[in-house]
Amino acid sequence: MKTCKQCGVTLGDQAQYCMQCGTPVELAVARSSEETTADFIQPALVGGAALGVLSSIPFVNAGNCICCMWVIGGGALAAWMLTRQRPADAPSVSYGDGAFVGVLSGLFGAIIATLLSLPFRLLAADALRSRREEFETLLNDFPELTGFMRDLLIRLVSPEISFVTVLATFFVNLLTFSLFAMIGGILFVAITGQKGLDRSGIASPGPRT
Amino acid sequence: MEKPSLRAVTEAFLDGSTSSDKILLSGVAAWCLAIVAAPLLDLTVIYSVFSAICHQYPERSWFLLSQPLAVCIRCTSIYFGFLVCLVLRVPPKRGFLRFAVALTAIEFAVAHLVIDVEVVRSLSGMLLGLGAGGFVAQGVRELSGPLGRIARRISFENL
Repeated sequence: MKTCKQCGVTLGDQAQYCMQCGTPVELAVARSSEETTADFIQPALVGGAALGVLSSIPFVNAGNCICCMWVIGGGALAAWMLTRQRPADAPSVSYGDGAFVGVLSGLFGAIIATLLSLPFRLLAADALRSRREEFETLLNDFPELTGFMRDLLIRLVSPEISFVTVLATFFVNLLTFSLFAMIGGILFVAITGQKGLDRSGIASPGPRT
Repeated sequence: MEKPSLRAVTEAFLDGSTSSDKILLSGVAAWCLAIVAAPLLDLTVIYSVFSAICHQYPERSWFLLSQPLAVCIRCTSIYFGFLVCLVLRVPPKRGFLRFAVALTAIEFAVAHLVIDVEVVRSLSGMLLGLGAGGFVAQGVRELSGPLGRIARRISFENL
């Protein structure tokens, strides 16, 4: 029995196409085992570095207020690089590939943004101190918000650096960056037309060209 | 005639959906619910979370019980368009997505340079969400492809 090198589904001996992902069997077999995580690492690192840096620089990071522009852009950049590095005889980049490289770039971006936030936090200590006071005044209007949650929110906007604030920043970054960078990666593949379409223009998971 | 139970209606609605479709639909529904819940329940935490991805200017937001929604009109329209796309299972059309992206970009430029119309902002956002939803659902479904390849590679390397 053969297995599809693209998605791993077991195929019949006479199968010419994978019924799961549509990859031609010959193409899937010809594709060497070099196609690994390494395929995704470089594009994800570049996309992650771009989105991580742009999302951490004060004022520049306000771009994320426009539908997470930098994060979606980072995911799209990673998908573009993945498309560029694929050999001509290899299956084209699928939506799944775009999603995966986007998630990976979000992960790298979250690490970079969290690390970069530390020096920026120290540099902007005075501004953060006054912001903390404003925030504490604002929170006084919400007496139901007490305990750990209130403490965490205050610490997140204060200049102090602690394990809890770094960890909380990382997880918030990880969640939002991975999600929106994944969308960026998928939409790049969708818009630039890297995948086969049927005549009606409906994206189909048919054989790749 | 016997009234169909909620369970039967839900099963019929989700018929043919993969587990990734269900996860995505639940996630997007929860996301949209949070946007509406923020003013309804006066939840500061939700406003704080969404402040990372939206400017939240009250003058550019819809109001519920005299409180602005957790995100601006454009973002709200995109997310609810996305939800509608998943619920109605609108098939992904590349031409439609390109049109929606171009329309949003033009609307964004016109709104900042010439005139800002709330209805047009909302409509372009809604179309963008409708156009993107099907592709994102397809991408999440196909995530098992690269993940499976990597898992197999790791297992081969450990042999």
